[in-house]
Amino acid sequence: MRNYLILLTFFVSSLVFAGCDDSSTTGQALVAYTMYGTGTGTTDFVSGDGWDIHLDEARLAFGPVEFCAHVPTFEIKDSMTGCGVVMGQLSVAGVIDALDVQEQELGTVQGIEGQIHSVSYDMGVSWPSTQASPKTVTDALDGFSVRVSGTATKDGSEVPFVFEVTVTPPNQGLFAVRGIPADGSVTQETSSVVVSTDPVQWLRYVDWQKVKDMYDGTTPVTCSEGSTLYNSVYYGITVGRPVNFEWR
Amino acid sequence: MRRIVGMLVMAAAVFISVPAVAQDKAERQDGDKTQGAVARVDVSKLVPPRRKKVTAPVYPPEGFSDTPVTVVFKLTVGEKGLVTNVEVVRSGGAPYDREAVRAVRQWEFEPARYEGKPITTKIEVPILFPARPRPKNAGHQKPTGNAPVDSGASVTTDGTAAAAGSTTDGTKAPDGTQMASSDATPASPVNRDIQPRPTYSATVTGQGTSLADSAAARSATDASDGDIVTTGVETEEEVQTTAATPAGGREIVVRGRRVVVKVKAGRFRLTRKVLAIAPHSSGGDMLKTAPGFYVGHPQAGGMANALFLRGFNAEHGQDIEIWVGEAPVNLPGHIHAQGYADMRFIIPEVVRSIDVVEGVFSPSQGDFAVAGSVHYRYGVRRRGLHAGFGYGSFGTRRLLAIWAPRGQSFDTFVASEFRTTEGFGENRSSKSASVMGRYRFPFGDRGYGVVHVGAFGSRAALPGVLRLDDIESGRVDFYGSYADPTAQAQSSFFTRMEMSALLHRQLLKKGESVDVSMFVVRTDFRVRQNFTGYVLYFPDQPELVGAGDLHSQYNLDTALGGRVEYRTGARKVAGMEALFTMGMQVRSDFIDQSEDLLYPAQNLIWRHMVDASMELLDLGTYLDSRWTILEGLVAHAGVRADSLFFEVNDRLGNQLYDITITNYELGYRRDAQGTFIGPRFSLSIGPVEKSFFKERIPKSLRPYLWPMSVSVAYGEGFRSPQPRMLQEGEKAPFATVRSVEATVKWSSHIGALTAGTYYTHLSEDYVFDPTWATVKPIGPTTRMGWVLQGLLTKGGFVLSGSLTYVKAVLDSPPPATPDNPTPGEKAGDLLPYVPPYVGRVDAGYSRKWRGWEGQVGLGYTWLAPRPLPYSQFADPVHLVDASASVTRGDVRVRLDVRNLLDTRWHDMEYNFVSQWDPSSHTPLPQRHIVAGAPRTVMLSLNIWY
Repeated sequence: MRNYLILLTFFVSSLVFAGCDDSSTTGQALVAYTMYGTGTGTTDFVSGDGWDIHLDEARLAFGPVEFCAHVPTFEIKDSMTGCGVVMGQLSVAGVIDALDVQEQELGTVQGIEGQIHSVSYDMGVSWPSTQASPKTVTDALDGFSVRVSGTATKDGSEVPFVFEVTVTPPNQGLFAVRGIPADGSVTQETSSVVVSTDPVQWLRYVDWQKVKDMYDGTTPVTCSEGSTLYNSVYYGITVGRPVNFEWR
Repeated sequence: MRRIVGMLVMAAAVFISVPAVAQDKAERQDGDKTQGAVARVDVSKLVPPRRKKVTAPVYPPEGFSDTPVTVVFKLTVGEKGLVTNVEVVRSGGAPYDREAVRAVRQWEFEPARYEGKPITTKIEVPILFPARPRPKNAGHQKPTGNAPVDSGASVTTDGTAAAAGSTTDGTKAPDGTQMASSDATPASPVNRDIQPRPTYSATVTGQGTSLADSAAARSATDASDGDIVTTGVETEEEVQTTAATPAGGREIVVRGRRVVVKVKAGRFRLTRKVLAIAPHSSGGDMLKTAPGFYVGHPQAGGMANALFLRGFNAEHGQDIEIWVGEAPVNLPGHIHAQGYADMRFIIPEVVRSIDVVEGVFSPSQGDFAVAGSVHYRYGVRRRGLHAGFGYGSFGTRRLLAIWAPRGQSFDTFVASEFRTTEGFGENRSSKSASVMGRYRFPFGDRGYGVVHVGAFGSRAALPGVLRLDDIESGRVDFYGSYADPTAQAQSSFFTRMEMSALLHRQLLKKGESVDVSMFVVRTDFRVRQNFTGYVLYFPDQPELVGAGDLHSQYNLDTALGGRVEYRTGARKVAGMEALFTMGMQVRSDFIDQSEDLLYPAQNLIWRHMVDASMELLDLGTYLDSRWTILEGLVAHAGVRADSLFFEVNDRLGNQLYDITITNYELGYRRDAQGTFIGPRFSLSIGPVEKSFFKERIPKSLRPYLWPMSVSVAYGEGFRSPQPRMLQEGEKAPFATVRSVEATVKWSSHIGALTAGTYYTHLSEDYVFDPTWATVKPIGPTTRMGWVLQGLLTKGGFVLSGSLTYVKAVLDSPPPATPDNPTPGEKAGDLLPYVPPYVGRVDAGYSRKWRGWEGQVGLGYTWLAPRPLPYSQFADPVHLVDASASVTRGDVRVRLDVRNLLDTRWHDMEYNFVSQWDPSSHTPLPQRHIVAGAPRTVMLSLNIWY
């Protein structure tokens, strides 16, 4: 009987050992947090060429977004995806009112814990690899990526303008903006990421004198796709760091 | 809760086998107990039993026959020379059997001896009753009193006098005729030759040979006849050999049991008796009976199994060295997975046993022996022609034919298997064929040879892996496949052709032997597989985004190799008995491989990924020694060294993604070399009852401690690198494993219970990367765990159970890559895909009744939730398989049911990024599954002739 007891003791202790399993994981747990957009609240500023700009509306369609583990890059030599491991995704698009300093909820980011080094995003129009053509993700701006309107004033000349630009990804499976630096550490405690944008940056390439030249005295100046003015707004919202991210 | 339930079930299974340990040793009987260790039979040391006293049987009064009647017995002759058991092998009819048994029970012998010590043997003895026609009036007359006469006389002979047909003991014929002359009509039952006949069987019990043993799980030499393979502390193994007796030089067949102490840590043997309990659909599936093993099916049955052992995600074989017979199975440098080991060519019915070494403790364990080694041993016990026809669920049909000539070694047979199935779901149809033949022949008067030829071919449609969210949303059926052409085009193709030979010879010097084996293996692999849908993107081909990630991988491997192993006899060194083994092992692989991305519809290649050829050479040598320090205290010490040479012609080398090459041509030819040297040690004590300190054990504790053995072991092993990862002149960065194990085992004549704990550290580990359909490095890893295993055999009942726990963790974050410069995993995180608990129970019962034999068996597998990447966990697995068979004479009907409870389970689970839904972009990892088979019934008819 004792031998049974010995073996039983051993066995029970083994089970106890088994029951003591800790709660380890493979790391990098899945997380979800809210993305907010915010503007600077700047409605009036002076352009580089001395025009006083007053903005009535500055709204940007933003999303979908991917946060990437890959370091910022524009010339992709070492990555096949340009993003590497995707650390987070906002699969929808929202609209940021850049004239409002209040945080505006854009959606929920689904992602994983870890270090974010770069970001790629669309502006309301995306082109998934599974789609033959781009598709509009949000209709809030009537299919446009950005709408900015106001008046430019200089030397007594007052020029109203309404710029509407659509930023379309260059190709299937690509984002409109890729490899923009972003630096964030996401943990289980991360509750939100705030995207801030400054409309002044959007218009930094605009030649306001040419805008004045286009003004017919009655109709606000608009930009047609492919025009110089269109491209200057386009680059204003896609080149450099027109948006910034802060995780908290 | 499920985990606890699972553990309790496993616990119960193992604990039920505990009584086996406590049984009285005196009950030891021969049976087919086969948890065995490794030993070697030196036939020259075997002296057959010699008769001392023979009592002639009388002719049964009621026995009449127009032709002679032969009764064949299998006698067990004990160590004292007495007949302890009589088994009728061939009946002559009840009256003849009765009288013959009555006589032979009185026989006495000089016991057989092995190494000078008396041993228990079995001998086959035919008794011939001459013809005795029924008298015309027999129907009305009782036999006269003087008809059969038991003279009661006995003879004492020198063992040479019993000539056929002669009686010198005064036995009378049934009619009363004195049979004093050999010229007389043979009317008396005659033992034609009670000297062991040219064919006899011998059972050897007690401490066996002390010949140097080498690795259990290695080439055929361990598995060959003449060797006794042992697992754990104390093992008995029936072996068969063909060799010459020292006396007569006649060829004999020896079936014996020997007990040999070997490197014990981590050793297990799966015998036919255990393997036959539950159904196994393939040779690879048989491994799930081994402790800690989980055998997955990554693509239904269309590809090599995914193997998990003791915390190692061995993928398709990268961490487990696998041999079948004399030929290796692992394929180095394979395009799909390093060490790819497709075991589907193995016909389960010709597997006699499987030796499993969990850990790296024997010097003969070579490349890929990281988690351990597996060695399938061929052998067909039931001789004759065996035809099997199986039909089952999902249009599964199986045709089996085995011819195992009678009177030949278990190792001599020809077998073929043809299998076809529609599969249990969409895109799972497959067809395969396997043929193999082995012949074993005498080699001189002290050896034997084995030649083997085999071939296998298979083609299968593959369903691919499915996203769990797609299944839950109803987009794809659980047993379905994506409708996309790139998914429907998935398929696999594999062929294998092998030839091997083994020569074994006892050398003139006492106890010395040499084995020489050679093999040629050619495999052809191709798979078309899409794990990720439409994820792949190449900047230099932006217009091809969305073409589909259908990988077409191709690998042609021709492997040549051989092994020579020399074993010394026992000799005294420094006052200790020592044995030495030295071996060399060489292998060269010629590999041609490619990987492309395909448009499925037109089979057009849209991108070349790999185009390479390689030549690999592995020169290995090892030295092993066994030292009997004190009685029952044995140490093993050895070392293994391998030098590997790699030559790679990477025809797509130096390709960049976004640069148009104008000033150089594609291609990068390189070579590299690396050397591995690793020691291996072990120390074992026991069984206590045979140890030097057995008398010091208090009598009250002896029943508990005497059957116990303890062993500890340390070893270092390696895995060769994927050659295409090597750079010019690079010292090959072997992945080195260090294993430590301690094992305690209680043995009994009806079973054994083993408990062990282990630690392994791997310097460079790999994990499967579905995006590229291959593995990627994840850095050093460590595993700690324990294993419990029990075996109980009692009468017709067999119960085998095991429970294994492991905690496998990263030692550091994975290496940084451009895609992931700051990996989020940290030291201490669990390794993905490795099940922390693996449990297995096999229970079977067989019974004979009036010429019928019935057998039922049950196999249960439990898998605790497997950790997946990104802190996810797979669902637990509970699987029950069952079988039942009825045998009548040479006909057997067998019913196999896999997944008896029709559980909806996930055979494999992954967590990675895929893109199958065209309406949404899904860059985050998602759980993917490979559906496990539903209830599958297979009815088979087996006929022997």
